[in-house]
Amino acid sequence: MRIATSPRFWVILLPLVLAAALLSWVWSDLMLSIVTWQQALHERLADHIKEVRNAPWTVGGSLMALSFFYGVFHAAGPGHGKAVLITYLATQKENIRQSVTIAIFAALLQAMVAVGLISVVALMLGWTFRDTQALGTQVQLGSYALVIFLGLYIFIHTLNQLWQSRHAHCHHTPQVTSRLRLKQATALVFSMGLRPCSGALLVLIYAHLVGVYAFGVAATFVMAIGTALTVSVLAIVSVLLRDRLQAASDSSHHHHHHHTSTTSLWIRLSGGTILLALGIGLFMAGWGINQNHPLL
Amino acid sequence: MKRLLLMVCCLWPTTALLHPHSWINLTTDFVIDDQEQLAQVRQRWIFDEFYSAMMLADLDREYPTRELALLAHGNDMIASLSQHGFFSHLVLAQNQHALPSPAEHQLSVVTTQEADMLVLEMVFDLSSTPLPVSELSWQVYDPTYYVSMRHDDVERIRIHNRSSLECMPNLIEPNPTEEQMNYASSLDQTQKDTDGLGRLFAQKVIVQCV
Repeated sequence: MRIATSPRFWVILLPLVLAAALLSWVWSDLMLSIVTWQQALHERLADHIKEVRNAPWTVGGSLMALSFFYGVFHAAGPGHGKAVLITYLATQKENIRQSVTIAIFAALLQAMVAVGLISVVALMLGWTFRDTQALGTQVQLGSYALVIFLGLYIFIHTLNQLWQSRHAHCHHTPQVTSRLRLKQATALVFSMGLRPCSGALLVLIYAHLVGVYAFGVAATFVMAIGTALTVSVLAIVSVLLRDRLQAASDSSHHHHHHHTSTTSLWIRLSGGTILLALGIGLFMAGWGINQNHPLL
Repeated sequence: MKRLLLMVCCLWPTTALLHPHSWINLTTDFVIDDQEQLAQVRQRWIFDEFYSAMMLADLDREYPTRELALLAHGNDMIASLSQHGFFSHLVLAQNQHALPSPAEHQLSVVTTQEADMLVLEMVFDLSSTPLPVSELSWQVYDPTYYVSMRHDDVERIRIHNRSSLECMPNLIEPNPTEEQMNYASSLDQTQKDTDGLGRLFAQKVIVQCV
């Protein structure tokens, strides 16, 4: 694919490169401030949860605002769900509406898993909060395993399609059926949302301990709305960027229809490979952290 | 385009783990005796509000009294921390010195601003081996970066000096580069013994004596 000759390609790529350069310039400062902000945000959340009973409307209102901000901010940072989603969207054929739906469902699932975990496992079954959190970390490994399966599935399926298109020699383009797409999207939602947000778990536990559990549940869902918003924006940007790069590369060369579809299959194949590698890397790293931390 | 995508995507997973889940505020006291030796290191770890509340709720359920709970859990903490060198790294004249088990330790609850905070205090006695204070460097960090451990400012490092030396602490904030972080997290994924992101985000305390 020789697309570097297209001026439109560079118009899109140049701001990206500049942004990346700027980011690496302020990298360590940015990372340190994020850690500090996050700590400050946690302290604020704790204060609000403590005070909410005294003034349910005013403090409750600002608790919700804070939770929304936490959701937006937390999702804006690096995380495995976003890496998975961006890889998937950049290499597969989802449109904007579908990708936003995936982002929203993943965020909602994440909130439901957190509320379910604390309500059922800790409060009903009476597990200690430490054990419940550890279970949350186990569930996280499950979501990493799903990333591996998704990558493997896309890889094998696309390889099969490539094989078919090479041997058929006809201009029939292998399509991803809507049923298949739904299956993949569901796997994606679960691999992103199965892992409960650690911040939400803390908020729920703390809210229970100071006797305002309902506020904790509400805060968790407001967090999810914030997360959904950020991830949706990210999804839209990835889809738009993918389409424009694709358009730029198509306009620079007059492909045969057949050639283009093979190219998109190769892109899909590389997407599957990246997801596979990502899943394995995350799983191994998660496994390492899981092994008895002295303070857990 | 494939290469571009690969480049973009490869940057993501490495930073995905950069994510402390709780915070510990550190205070370190160095005791220098009249022979210009480092005699003691005392540490005070203040756990964050969420961690403290969760841990105390669990402990209250597991033990009949708060007093017993703090005693038993304090011992557990020391036992498991000792397998990780208490997350502490003491270097004198470019030689690493492992901390011994603390001569004294105490887990307690301190109420600050209407919140109960868990506090772990440890006294490391180093007087059995002569350790001249020169080029003292001190770091405390969780290598996995699950817990962020920091001295708020240089005031959190105190020197109790009984010698004729004049000693000044310096607190150096971390300044990791993106490449270092990628390197650290790739090691972290393959070699579990190697220090991961936590070391890159660790502060460094330098005590200079003249």
